[in-house]
Amino acid sequence: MDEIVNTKSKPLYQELYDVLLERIERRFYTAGSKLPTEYELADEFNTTRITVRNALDILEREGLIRRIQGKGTFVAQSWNEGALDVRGGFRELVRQGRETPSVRILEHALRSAGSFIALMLDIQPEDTVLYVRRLNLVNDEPVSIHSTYIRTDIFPSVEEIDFSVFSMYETYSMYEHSYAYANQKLSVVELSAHDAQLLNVHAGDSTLMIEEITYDSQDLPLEFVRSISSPSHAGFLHTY
Amino acid sequence: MDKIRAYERALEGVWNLMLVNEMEAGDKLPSERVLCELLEVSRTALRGALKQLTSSGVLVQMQGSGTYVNPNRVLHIFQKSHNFSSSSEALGLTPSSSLISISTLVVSEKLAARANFRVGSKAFRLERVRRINDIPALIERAYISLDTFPGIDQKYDWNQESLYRVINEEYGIFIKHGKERISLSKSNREESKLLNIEEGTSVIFQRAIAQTDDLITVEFVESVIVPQFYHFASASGFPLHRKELIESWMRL
Repeated sequence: MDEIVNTKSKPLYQELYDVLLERIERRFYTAGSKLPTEYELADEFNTTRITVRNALDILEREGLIRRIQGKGTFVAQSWNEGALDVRGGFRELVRQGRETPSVRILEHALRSAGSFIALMLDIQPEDTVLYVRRLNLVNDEPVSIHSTYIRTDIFPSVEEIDFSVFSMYETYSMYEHSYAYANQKLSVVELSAHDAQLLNVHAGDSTLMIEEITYDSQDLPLEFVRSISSPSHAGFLHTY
Repeated sequence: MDKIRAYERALEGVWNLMLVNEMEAGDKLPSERVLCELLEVSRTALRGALKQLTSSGVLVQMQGSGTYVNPNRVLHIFQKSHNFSSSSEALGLTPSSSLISISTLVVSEKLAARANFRVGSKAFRLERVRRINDIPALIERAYISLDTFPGIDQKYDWNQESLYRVINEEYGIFIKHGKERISLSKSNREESKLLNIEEGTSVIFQRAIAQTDDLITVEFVESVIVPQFYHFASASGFPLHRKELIESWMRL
């Protein structure tokens, strides 16, 4: 049995943190697996739940674990072995593990582009775009909301595609405008009450927002996207 | 065809106004009344949009004076920005930093795994607060291996010295590869004091490893960033015919 010995040089939670970190790095707890409960950990290490919670707080902050309300604590992929950025630029770290993703379409409508979207997509304000707002879920847990504005001049009848079946990128490829690169902005934003509810977090919590224009290989803008992630899933990786 | 919802019309309207008028850091927006007329939206819709733009740091509202494009905000472009000082100076902001601590430590297994250092070797740790126009924007903790940079912990006055200058000019080592990971966190008590923010404020936690051509670690850095004063952009490619527009959009 591992036990935390207080050497007095370190607080107890720090000692526990070291032990848990070591287990994650040695893959005793593998990526995607569920950690024992706070109660079980407290029992195993003969300490209090507060100490366990403090140690888990640091692991969570470092992105090594993820706590999912009502489900438990899961081991994330370590950042060194995380999803490589195949598309270049930063993008959401998809730490799939053993998880099942799904999509729920919240809104789906044709609208006129308006001045700003027209500017972003290099079209006219009166041109039509398809507006799709969707909620991404992993293991039925909401992880992100994406609002996408798609050009209909280069994607005719795109409103007939079922985006809960086909991904956006698959769709663009079918029209022979495959994704080539993106211009992205990343900032921290306060969640609106409505979005907070969709993501199952507290209203007023802050999270990461990406605003993005994607292009095909001919420098043609395809879509403008605004995405927000649930705070515990918010993470981006850039490699060079 | 659906009508654009009022909140979205307001948000898109403010963005359009800033871009079309080529607004820059410190510029003042029209009053709420004028904006409502210009964008044909209600006060409620406009306020919702302004709230989104202030919470994300694009705009700042000054009591009794109006709404401005945030004057103190550094843009870090992953493919272009090399360090805090040059990113700040590129935007006409004045960077400064103050030393919190320097130490030489024995590399633990944990640090070795993250930074790709040798367990038991020695590393230099440099902890600084970086400021823009005298406002604390981030805390940066850099770890540098003494295997690669012998004597770096002894020879320099880190109150004055630029880490990049020393790395490049004194040691002749250059960064070619790396990884930057961003996540969200809350400031703890000590960080909040140093950054002059309330404890528990949402902050960006950045962890970066910079490597040479041969993938030897140059530095491993952890930063705690106040989002209001620092934001990120990425351009994995660039549409040259839209250069000015995209650059202004990224800066805002």
